[in-house]
Amino acid sequence: MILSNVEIVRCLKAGLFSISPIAGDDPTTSPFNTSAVDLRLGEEILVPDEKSAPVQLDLRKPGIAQFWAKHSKSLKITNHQPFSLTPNKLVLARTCETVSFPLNTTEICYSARVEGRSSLARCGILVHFTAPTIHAGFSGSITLEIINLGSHDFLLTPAMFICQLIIEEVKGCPVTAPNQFKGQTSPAGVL
Amino acid sequence: MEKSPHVDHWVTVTTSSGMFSSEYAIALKLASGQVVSFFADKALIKEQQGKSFLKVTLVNQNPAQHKELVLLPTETFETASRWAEIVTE
Repeated sequence: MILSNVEIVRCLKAGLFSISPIAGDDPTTSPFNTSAVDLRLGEEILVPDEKSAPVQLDLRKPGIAQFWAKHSKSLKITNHQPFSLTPNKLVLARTCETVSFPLNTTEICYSARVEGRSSLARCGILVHFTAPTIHAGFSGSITLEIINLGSHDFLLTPAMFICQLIIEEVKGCPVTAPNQFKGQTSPAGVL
Repeated sequence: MEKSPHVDHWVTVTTSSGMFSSEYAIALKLASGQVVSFFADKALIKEQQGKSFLKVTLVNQNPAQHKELVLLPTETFETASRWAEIVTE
């Protein structure tokens, strides 16, 4: 069941999940819509390297994450220096907000889906594709795959409302707590 | 806000620079011997005695076989899964 704006605020105040820093807490104004909450674009944009040599990605082989870390460039955008996304260009970005949907067995779990915004869609901007699910148990900022399918350059500016989060209840606990924690890897002073 | 009965659980990983400044690229050896990779927020990593530890959710343990099943913060590139069986130390 999708949570309404009022229910999202109630759950946030009850600490059932978190969105931080959220742009407001009045469910009748931005960043809330009737059944979603809008999130903002962070300041870091990742631009994948243009292919300089033949590369064939094989997900069966280890080191894919390390490959992408090596073959992308990080840029910081500001209001004075936004990023101009040209047609057919893909970049990665993250939301300003960090979200957390804890796993628990005593309360209802929640998950979410990140979706685009109609205003950006009209401009040909996709802010994610194929991977909208924010799973129960996830904690962190949301990575966006932004591509310009329009015919004009599009400016990405920090803190612009870039996507919306639709939040749902998860029926049943995804993971039951183990009875024993023997052998746990627990560096002293960390837990 | 944490009401979960799940205790933080830490597994040994190898870290290197991620794509975003706030994340690491992670290498994790599975019980099968396969090494998988994924990205994780730096907030999920603790360094101690020259080792890096990733916070995961413990799902099940098999002390007799020195194995445990954990839920990773994100899916790996190589297995497309968040579930990982690893060898306990």
